[in-house]
Amino acid sequence: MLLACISNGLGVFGLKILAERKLTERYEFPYLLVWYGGWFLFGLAVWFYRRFRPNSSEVAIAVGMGFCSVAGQLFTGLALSRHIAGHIAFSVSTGGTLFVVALAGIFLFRERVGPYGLAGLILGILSIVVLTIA
Amino acid sequence: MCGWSLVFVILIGLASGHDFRTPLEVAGLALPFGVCAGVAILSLQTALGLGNISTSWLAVNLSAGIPTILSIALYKEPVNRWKVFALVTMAVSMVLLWKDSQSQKESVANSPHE
Repeated sequence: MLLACISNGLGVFGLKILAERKLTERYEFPYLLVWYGGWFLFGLAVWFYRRFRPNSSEVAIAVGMGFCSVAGQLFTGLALSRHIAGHIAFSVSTGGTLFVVALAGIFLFRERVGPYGLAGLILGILSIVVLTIA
Repeated sequence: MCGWSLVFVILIGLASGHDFRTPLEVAGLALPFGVCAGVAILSLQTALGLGNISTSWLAVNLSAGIPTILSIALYKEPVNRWKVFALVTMAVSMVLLWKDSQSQKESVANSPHE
C-alpha cells in the first residue's frame, strides 16, 4: 500500500517538472503518450515475468478502466481549458473519485469499514480537498 | 489497462491531429514517471488482495502529498497553513487506515473457527 502511495505520487510529479521547464503548453500530449508508453512497458515486463492469459471479462474491465483513465485526464484538461479554476476541477476530480469509490466499496461490495477506517476516510478526503484548494 | 489507455491516447491524438514528435528531454522525463504509475497500479492490485477498495484507493490518493512535498523541497513553493494542515491530516488519515486494517486482522484472528 505504501509502495502504491509513493509510486503514484511520483508518477504525477513529472507533470510538475514539465511545467517548471515551461514545456507543458507545447508538449503535454507527447508527454502523456510516452507516460502511458512507460506504463505499458512496465506492464509488458510484468507479463513476461508472470505469464497469464486474461479472460474476456478481465479484458472488458481493462478496456473500461483504460478508457476512464484517459477520459479523466482529458476532461480535467478540458475543464481547465474552459477556465474552470484549478482548485475546483482538481477537488471535484480527486475528491469526487474518492467519494464514489468509497461509497461503491461500502454499498456495492458490502465492505466492512470500522470506526477508525471511517474516520480515516473522512479525514483523507478532507485533506485531499484542502490540498487541492490550498 | 495500460495498453488500452495507450490505444485510446493514440486514437485521440490521431483524431485531434496532435503532433506525435516527442523531444528526447520530454520522453526521458515521461518514461520513468510512467513506469512509476505502472508500479503504483500493480502495488494497488496486490494491496487490494489484503484490504478493502474503499480504504486502499484512499491510501493511493493520499499520494497527492508527495508531489506537494517535492514541490516545496525542490522548487521552494510557498507553504501556507492550509498545506501544512492538509499534510498533517493526510498523515493522521494514513495512521487511522492502518489502525483499521490492524483491528480487522485482530477481529478475524479472534473470530471462532467454523
